[in-house]
Amino acid sequence: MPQTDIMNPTPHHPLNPDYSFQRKRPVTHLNQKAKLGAPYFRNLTDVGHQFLLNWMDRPVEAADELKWYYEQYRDGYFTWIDHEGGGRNYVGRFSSPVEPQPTAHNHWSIQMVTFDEVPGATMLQYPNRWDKDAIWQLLVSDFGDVMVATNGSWTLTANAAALSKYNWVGANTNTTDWAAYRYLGYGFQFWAYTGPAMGKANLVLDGTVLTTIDFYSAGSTQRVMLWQQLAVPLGVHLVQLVATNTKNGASSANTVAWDALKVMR
Amino acid sequence: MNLPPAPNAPKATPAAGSLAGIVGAASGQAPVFLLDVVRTNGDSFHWADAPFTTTPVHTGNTPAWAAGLLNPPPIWDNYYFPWLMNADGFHLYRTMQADSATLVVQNVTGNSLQRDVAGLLRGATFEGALFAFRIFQPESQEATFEYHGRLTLVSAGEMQCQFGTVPLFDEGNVDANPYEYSEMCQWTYAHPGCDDATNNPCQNTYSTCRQTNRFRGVLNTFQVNVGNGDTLAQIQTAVPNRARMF
Repeated sequence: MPQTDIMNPTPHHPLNPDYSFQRKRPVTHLNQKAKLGAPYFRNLTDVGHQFLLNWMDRPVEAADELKWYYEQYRDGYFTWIDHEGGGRNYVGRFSSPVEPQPTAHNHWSIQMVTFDEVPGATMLQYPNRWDKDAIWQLLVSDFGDVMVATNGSWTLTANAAALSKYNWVGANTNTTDWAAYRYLGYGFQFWAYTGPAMGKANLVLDGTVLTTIDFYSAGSTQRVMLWQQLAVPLGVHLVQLVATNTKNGASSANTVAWDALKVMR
Repeated sequence: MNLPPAPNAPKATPAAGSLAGIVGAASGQAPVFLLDVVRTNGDSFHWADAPFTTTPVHTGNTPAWAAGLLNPPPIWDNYYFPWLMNADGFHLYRTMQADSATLVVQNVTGNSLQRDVAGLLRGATFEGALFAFRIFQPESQEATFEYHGRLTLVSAGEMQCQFGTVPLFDEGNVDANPYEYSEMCQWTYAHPGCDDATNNPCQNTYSTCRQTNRFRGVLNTFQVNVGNGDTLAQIQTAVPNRARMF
């Protein structure tokens, strides 16, 4: 459980880095563009956040401890907390060596150490600031590309009240139809509309059924968050809505729908 | 002393490389690369290096893939998707010689699971697809260069898909007989097909053949052997003065 090893558990811990440090998000996507026209985009890798850290004039104990973290987790990961960035946890490792330099008696400086977030690692506390760090992944991109893939009987229906301005509407009359979206990030929220003629479908993450979503409600409601999955490690994940051919006993039809995902980044 | 030209005198064409020439060439709309493709299943594709609408060179069936487009073009064959990243290597020789040009198409668009071009490649082959490439002047609505041929897939990467070009008449793709039609036998003497083991090479004619059941030549009934009393020869008996075929 290396994620339980927190290098700087408190805001005043001696291993917190100096100001200023850089927080980067390396490019994880491809860009292509013809001479004229809209740019094209595609997520490619799951590289996480990256921090460039400095510790100036620290006692030898701090220098030794930082060096230990580098040596111990060169092929593993530990938790580092960005207290300046709201206390968000990151799991990763130092990808550049910790090289303490004595600057005076019992004064050591460690500069330009890179902390790289590791994809796929379990976290002690998953990012949860949905209002600040999460982004919408809509059915249709701003350039008009349909982003959710479907299999079976699905219809892309315009809906001005939807977050995506469209809904994928599934007939849900078998157990093989699915709609799917691949995203880069951590956890996600599934948003859709509910109504009196709506059925049930399985929400699947990376092949594992998370829940069976009941789209039924007595009245029609737009923009409903029907599921939130927080504990998902950084990575490229596949969310699927899989037909079950079932419905709530009070519902008059099997129909299911997909409006949008909100993905933690 | 050089006098300035009269106000109504015809203007001379700016010399190449002159400032007027450079400015003139750089003004106006840039030409657009247009690519029409019809693959062997009849599906047509129209790609350019800019979103563009004009009359195509080739038309075909709207591919099934287009059904997934949110806003498909009203007339499929008239709209050019801006997918063409690069096109070069078109050389003309005034002969049947042709270089393989390179046409590069983006392979990034698509839904979050599958790229458009990758899906099209998987759906049906582009090998041998008929294409027409044009360098098109938007202002005059004319092509200043047009090149026809067939496509061959060079590579399909995660960012781009590269096609090469093959001439419309490509001898390399024409099936032909491995041997000539001739009254001379095509086997090399003692070749397994000949299988004569007498160690006495023939003249590759039927009359000198010792393995007539294996003779690999075309027998004719048209030749009369003069001076031999035959009125109609079934085979050639005179040794033709020709080079042997090995």
